Amino acid sequence: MILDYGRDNQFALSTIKIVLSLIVAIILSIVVLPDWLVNFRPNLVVLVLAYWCLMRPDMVGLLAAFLAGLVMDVIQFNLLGHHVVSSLVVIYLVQRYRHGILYLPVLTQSLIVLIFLLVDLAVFTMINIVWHDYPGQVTVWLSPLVGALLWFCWMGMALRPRG
Amino acid sequence: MFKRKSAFRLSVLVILALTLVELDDRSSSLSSVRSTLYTLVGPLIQVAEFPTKAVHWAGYLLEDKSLLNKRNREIVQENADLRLRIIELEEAAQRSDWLSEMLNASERLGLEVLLAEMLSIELNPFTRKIVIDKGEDEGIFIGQPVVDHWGVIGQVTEKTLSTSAVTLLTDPNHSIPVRVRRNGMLAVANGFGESNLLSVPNIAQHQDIREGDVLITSGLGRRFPPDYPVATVKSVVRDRNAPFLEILAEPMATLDRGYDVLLVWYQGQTGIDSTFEYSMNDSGLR
Repeated sequence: MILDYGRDNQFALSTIKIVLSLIVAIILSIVVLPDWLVNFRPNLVVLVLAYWCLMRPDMVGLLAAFLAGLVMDVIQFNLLGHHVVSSLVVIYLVQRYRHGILYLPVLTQSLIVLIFLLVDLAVFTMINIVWHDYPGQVTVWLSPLVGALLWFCWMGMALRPRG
Repeated sequence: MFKRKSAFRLSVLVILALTLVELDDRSSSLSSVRSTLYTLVGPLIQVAEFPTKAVHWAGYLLEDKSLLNKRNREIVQENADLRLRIIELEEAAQRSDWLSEMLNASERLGLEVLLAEMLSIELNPFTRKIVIDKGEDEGIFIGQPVVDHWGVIGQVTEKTLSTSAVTLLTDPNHSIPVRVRRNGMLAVANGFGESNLLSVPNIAQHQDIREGDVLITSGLGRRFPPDYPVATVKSVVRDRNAPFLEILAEPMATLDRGYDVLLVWYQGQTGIDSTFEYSMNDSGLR
């Protein structure tokens, strides 16, 4: 009984954490930045989704990716589904290679996250080329680097030995 | 087992998403879905606006009072000057009305405008769009022209109940029919994703266009009201080997955040929504 209650409690706590972090990521994706910084903003929503997919694969998967992508498309007035496809692909890759990634050193992990973010951007760009006939500006391709750096800082902080 | 199941779910969801993209691109059947979802995420947008607004507000508070006074005086002066010009122009307009009546020409276009505020949020860097705080509730329609005091800004391309997205002139998917004010030559000005530049394609080597020429809306296509300033020609590159001139123009309007914009209604205008074609017949041209 007590054990069950505890598990429920933790489940609720995780849900709150996941939803809150996604909301913060979505807000940070539309906050106005200085003009020269705009192209360097990484896809924070995919980053957060990937993090939770590693940590709580039972709660965050393809469905969460679908919903979060849809919210981004609604908020940014994209064609509905534009962000959805790229998030789905990335979260699929995270699920597929989860066990390999989880216990890697932080630096290697960040490099893999860099690849994931590049895949995300590539899929997004491809859809943009097919439906809008526009490949985007070149500097956008530096944003995954910023994302990987954020991942490195965050994981480095979270896994730092305490005490 | 996991792999196959998971790959199957991925393909189903991706196909579903791509269907959504295609459907949204082809028709406006998803616009009510977008509207509903948008009301749900509305609070997020308000939170996202907050930092920018706070910075503006702080700047306003810290601004020197004497500077404010000075600007106020300038505005009063400008207002007086403009009033005088309006009196002159009204006189001229009356005379021109009288003349065109004599010539049995079409009536002057009656413009109607609505002031809208830009929201302080940023959309994805693959597009050049802004979001304004007026939507379907105010009778905004898809294809509606948006201008400011200096020139054309763009047109409404998506709408929800209380907001709408305006695609700027500089968006890589935007084109606007224009005319050179000096000689009436027709052209099209395209955006190409650069923040403050338009390109004017398909102008032959021998055609007369120079640096500093003002491009105004031609009114062709009935999307934008005619004779409204769009851009000034910034550079004309003549390459003998190329079939066309390479022309760049700079938009007149401030395509930047933090300014108010005007939504325009005028006689004879057509939007993409079927509900707004009533004026097609009494526009004088047909």
